[in-house]
Amino acid sequence: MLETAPSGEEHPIAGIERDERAQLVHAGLRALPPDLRTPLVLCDLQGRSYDEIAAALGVPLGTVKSRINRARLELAKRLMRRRAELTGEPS
Amino acid sequence: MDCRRAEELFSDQLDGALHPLLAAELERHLAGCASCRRLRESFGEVVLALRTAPELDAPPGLAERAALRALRAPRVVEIRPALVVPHWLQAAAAGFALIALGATLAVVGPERGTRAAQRLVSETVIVSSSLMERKDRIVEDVRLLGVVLSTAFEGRIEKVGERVQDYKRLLERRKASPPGDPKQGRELEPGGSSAAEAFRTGSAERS
Repeated sequence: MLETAPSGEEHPIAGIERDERAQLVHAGLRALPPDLRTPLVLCDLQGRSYDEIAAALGVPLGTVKSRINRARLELAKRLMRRRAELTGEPS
Repeated sequence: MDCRRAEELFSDQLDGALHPLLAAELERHLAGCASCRRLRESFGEVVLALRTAPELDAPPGLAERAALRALRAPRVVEIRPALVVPHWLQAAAAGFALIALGATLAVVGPERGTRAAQRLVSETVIVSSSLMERKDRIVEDVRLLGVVLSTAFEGRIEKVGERVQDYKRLLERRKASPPGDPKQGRELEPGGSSAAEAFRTGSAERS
């Protein structure tokens, strides 16, 4: 990862990669089915607790955690596939 | 630990919510599985991107907006009366009640009013007494039923029929006795113990 240069400052390419990653994650978020996307948005974008999300959606706490984990996995796999496309390495 | 199980634990690991033993097991799996290691790294990047990117702050869907509205809405429980009666109507009703009371007292007089009240109290006492007697009968019926059932459970099937017949006779005795009769339903056998006592103790079948 090109997050920081040896001097401690952010590498110029790192910023580009971060933006691209954010766009990729955003696109992946839109592609998620609502039952996975909603708890993820409430948790990671809105900063709501698992308990609050469970109450708002009317589902058990364990279901909320499971769906959030699955949603993150979906996005992570999407990110890996995109990287593999760019680098030519297997994902 | 297999890869599928490892993936299930990523969020808990990120939250620091894993049991130490499970966390160590996951670490061992990640150390030996390059695929899961890469996935775990991407997993962390996704969470970081979601939590820090300001452009992602807008909820992307209707479901999220609905859920957010539910979370933001103040949880106030509004209690509405079943029927809203205007104040002027309440005041009019109160005035009418006072006028009616005054007119009644003027017509019947204080003494007649007192007698009516006494009669009302007396009738109330009679009704209450009758209800108490009915309650006592129900309690007694339940006890007798318990005796019949316990006889059946004890395996004395031949005695169950006798208990049922005794109960029938008790009901007939009750019908013959007026509600205020203190002897109602108490004596089953002409010169013997009371029916209720016979049921409770099971003395009839033991003798």
